[in-house]
Amino acid sequence: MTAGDALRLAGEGVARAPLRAVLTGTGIAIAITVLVLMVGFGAGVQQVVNEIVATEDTLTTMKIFSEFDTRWRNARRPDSERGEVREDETKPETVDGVSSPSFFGPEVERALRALPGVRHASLDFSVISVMRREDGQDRRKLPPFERRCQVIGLHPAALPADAADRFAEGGLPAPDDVRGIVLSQEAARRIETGDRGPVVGSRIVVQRLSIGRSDEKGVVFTVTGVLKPRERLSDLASFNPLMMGSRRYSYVWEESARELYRGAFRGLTDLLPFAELGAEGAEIPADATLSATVLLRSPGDAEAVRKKIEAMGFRVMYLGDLLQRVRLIFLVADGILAALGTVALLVASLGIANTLLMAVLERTREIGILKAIGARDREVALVFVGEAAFLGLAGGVLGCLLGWGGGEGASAIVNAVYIVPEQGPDAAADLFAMPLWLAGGALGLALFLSLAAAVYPAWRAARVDPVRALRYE
Amino acid sequence: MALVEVRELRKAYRVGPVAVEALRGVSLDLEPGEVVALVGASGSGKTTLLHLLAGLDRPDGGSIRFLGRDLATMSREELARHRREGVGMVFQAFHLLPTFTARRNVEIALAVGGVPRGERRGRAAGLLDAVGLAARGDHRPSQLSGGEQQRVAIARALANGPRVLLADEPTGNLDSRTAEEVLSLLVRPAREGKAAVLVVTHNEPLLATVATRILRIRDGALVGEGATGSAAA
Ligand SMILES: Nc1ncnc2c1ncn2[C@@H]1O[C@H](COP(=O)(O)OP(=O)(O)OP(=O)(O)O)[C@@H](O)[C@H]1O
Ligand SMILES: [Mg+2]
Repeated sequence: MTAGDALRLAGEGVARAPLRAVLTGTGIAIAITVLVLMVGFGAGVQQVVNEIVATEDTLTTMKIFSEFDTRWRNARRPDSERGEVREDETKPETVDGVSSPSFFGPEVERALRALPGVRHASLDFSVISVMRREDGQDRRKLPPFERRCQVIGLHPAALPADAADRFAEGGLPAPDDVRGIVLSQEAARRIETGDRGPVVGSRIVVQRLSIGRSDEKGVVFTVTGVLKPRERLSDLASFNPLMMGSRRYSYVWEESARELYRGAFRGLTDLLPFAELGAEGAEIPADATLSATVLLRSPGDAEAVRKKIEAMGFRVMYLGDLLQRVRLIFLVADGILAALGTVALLVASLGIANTLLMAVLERTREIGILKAIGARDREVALVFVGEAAFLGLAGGVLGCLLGWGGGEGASAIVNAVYIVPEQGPDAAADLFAMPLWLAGGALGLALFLSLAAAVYPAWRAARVDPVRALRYE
Repeated sequence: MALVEVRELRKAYRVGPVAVEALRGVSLDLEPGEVVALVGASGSGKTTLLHLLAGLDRPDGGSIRFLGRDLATMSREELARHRREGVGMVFQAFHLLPTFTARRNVEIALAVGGVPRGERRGRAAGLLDAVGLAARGDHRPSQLSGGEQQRVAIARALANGPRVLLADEPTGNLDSRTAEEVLSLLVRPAREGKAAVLVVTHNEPLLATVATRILRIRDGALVGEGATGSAAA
């Protein structure tokens, strides 16, 4: 008797008690559905996070904070959250002539650029400004605070290779156009004119945000491009932690940003540390910054570069770290969900064991006949192992299909009911994912547990004593 | 060396405190070409002897040698092989698989015997043809008469060319004409000279015409052996 013969007998055995087979298979299918749904949503959300965070851009970007910034922020954190507090440590040794200054200037920028593995480094000249159209034709009459917008300095060397693809309209300012500005979708929407012409080409006044009455005139820029909606943490320049939540920002060439930056109000997060630094008696140049951006040649350089920069006494913020932590959390969460699904599957496989034991009892006489005509123990066992495999695989395939359909359906509903109405069609995300490993793993687990459930019934079948079995009439 | 050598075979069934001695020291030899009739009253131990010869059960004492090899020394696996290759058994109650057609009942024996899938259909058809059931291959046991079922069982027993054919009251439920037909099918392997045939019967006169030897069993022991008028092959 070949394995094929045994499997044919197994199939016929399943078909002889169809209702029982359907009920048992359904148990497996339900368990697999639960498993696929739980792990699939875990995988889907993780995938969304990966798409947003784990881009080449974010993984080749490091934010560097000055020693003072670190000290200042740590001092205001509860003890439990203080990370690598270095207050009492002696200052680290000088690296390339830079020894942990309280704020960043050109010498730090040079030192950062000189590090191996660094593609580009520049100080963060980022200013909060108020924007309005020069012609006063803004469609919406918003109070100044509602028209605020982050203006970010852009260095040509920091641009991603596919920068041109990231525009919805227009493009970058010409290299020497210090009065060209690129707007995000959200920023462009604030200065729309309704039907009075396109945003690209229009002239806008950028005025630094100030406390009290401002007598500043502001600087007039011409919009050269509008970016596509942001799907990732970064779009043009590399990610900026200051604008992780914000969708309203604009880019100008670094030179112009530095000009706006000098002495500007930089938002509360920067103002207070600078004020305190000033109170300590420090001489603060107008274009000193508390942070800088370092672009890596490749994500693989991250560790080496981080070590060097930390040795300078600076704090490094790197999304790769966050990503690792998030991955760990997902791993644990997926593990727990998978364990729950596996428990359901274990229960279902007890159903298989029960069904098979009944089949062995019912067919004892036939097993006896097979053994009387010389069938081997393992051939008889294989018949029942085969039945378990049929039930497990059929239930597993059905469960995968149900889980996949249910997951995609639920994701579509969540998108239609919550995400799109609240955040727009661009925010729609596939929250459920069924990667090959999940389908394969679920099927494999269903098959494995079914086979495990078949061990005892198959052994019972193999050990049937033909003389006794044939006495059943 | 005889094909089968049985020496001092003992078998007792224990039911609670009572032991039923079904066989008490049976010795016999079977040679190729022989047709041996085993005659005895109900409960005398005939079926028990056949089961032991077929390797379906193990004796409590004595030995059975098949081609010189003691069945007691065989593993489960070797006993299974003995059942599918050494002997063919026709049971008192036929024991056909009820959900299989006549053809598949024969084919499953071929499958167990390791006949390649492609050859089974043709060989099963040939075997059914030989027992006169060529037209009933697609019928299930429940759609066949007792005699027809008996013949399917014979076809199955012959499927793998056994050296010993064991038949347990194959004519018990049959009218005399059908009984004669069935008997002639059973003795054919012996007539061809390769196999020994051992037939259990109540109907001694019928067998006397074909048997080369008659063994009488009473209360688990052989009581006498008589030659018959039939010419040995
Ligand atoms: N499994 C068993 N348990 C207990 N006693 C048994 C068992 N099988 C057979 N016997 C007993 O052993 C004795 C021999 O039985 P066996 O079936 O060999 O007789 P038999 O000659 O084939 O009878 P029959 O002509 O009625 O078929 C009988 O007394 C029977 O009751
Ligand atoms: Mg009997």
